[in-house]
Amino acid sequence: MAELSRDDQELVRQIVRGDEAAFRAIYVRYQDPIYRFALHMSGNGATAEEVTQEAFMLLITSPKSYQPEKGSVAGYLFGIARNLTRRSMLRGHLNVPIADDADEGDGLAFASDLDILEDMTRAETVEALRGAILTLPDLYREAVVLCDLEELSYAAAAEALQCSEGTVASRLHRARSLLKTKLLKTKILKTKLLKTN
Amino acid sequence: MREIESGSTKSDEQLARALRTVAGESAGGAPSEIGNVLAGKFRSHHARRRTTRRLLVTGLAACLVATVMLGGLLARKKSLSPTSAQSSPKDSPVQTVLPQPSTTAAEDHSGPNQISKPKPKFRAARPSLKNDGTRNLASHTVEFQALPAYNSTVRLEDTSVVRVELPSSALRLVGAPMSGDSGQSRVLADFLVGHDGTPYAVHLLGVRRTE
Repeated sequence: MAELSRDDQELVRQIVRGDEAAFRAIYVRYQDPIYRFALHMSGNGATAEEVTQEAFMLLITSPKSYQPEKGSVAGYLFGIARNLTRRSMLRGHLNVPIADDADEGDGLAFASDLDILEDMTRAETVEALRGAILTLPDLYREAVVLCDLEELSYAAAAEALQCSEGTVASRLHRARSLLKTKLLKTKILKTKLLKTN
Repeated sequence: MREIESGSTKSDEQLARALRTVAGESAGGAPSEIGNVLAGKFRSHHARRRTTRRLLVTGLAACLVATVMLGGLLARKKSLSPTSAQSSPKDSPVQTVLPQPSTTAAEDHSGPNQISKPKPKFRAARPSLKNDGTRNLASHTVEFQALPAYNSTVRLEDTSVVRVELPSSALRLVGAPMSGDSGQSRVLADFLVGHDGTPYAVHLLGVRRTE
């Protein structure tokens, strides 16, 4: 990991000097995670593309804004993508309002014990979970996307989110609890619908 | 995906599994067009940057050359000014003896006493060529001052210029015009000498005072 980070830093130094091959190497390495991060955060392909392009454009136009002593290149790029996604969502009103925090608190106790995804097909599970992730508050959604979907370490996620590892762990815990409750609600809703039909 | 902590319930495991499934389903990345667009922008950005830098460097070099030339011109103008020759700072470790207003060798036949007399204007005549293509020493007057051994019949081609540093007393011995307060200083000078080593003229370049 540290070796990859040093390699990334060397690539950024070469980008500063105008080495296109170095830029391509960084792009190939991080385009997918950045795109997926923006996609999971916004739930919108166009926004994800725009964010990916803008994040790498920033690396082209001001590569010196990356400071190795402050963290890894990955953390730097995720940080840019995070800010761009937030800005884009604010601009496009794509932010899904969260209105279920209050009653979800009550549901947490039983959600932790019950079978939340039983009887759901793979496609239904994916769809339900994606939907649930999109309804999470930004701070929790970022933690889930970075740690659970992009498989970043707490340290790397903390770097990208500009907070401590403890905060990341805490947000992740809270996010998972909310997801379970949301999935349980989806399941209950589905059962009711089936019974009605 | 990170394993959900120990003591996890069935729902935790199900959620972890579901998250792994979502991560697996989202394996796609950015469209390849974005990569191509970015590569093009990278090239154009750096081409523009290189051009800007080149212009900047050229501009700076031009400014530097202009400054140096201006400085040189000012220094030359100052050195040609007769008043500046009298006002050289005494505390400077190396004092430059600015060219004394010299006269043409042809005008100076009257001996060493008249040579050291400063004339109000500096006259720098180019060495003229005789009809036979040879130049006469008498016509070579630029910054050199004739010494007592000066001989107007000596041709310029029969002389050479030798740069030496010697005590001012030695200069006085050969008849060079030295001011009285030059004391124990050492003087850097160009001598115009004949084939036999006779010094015909001198051009004082600088004085180094010895404590």
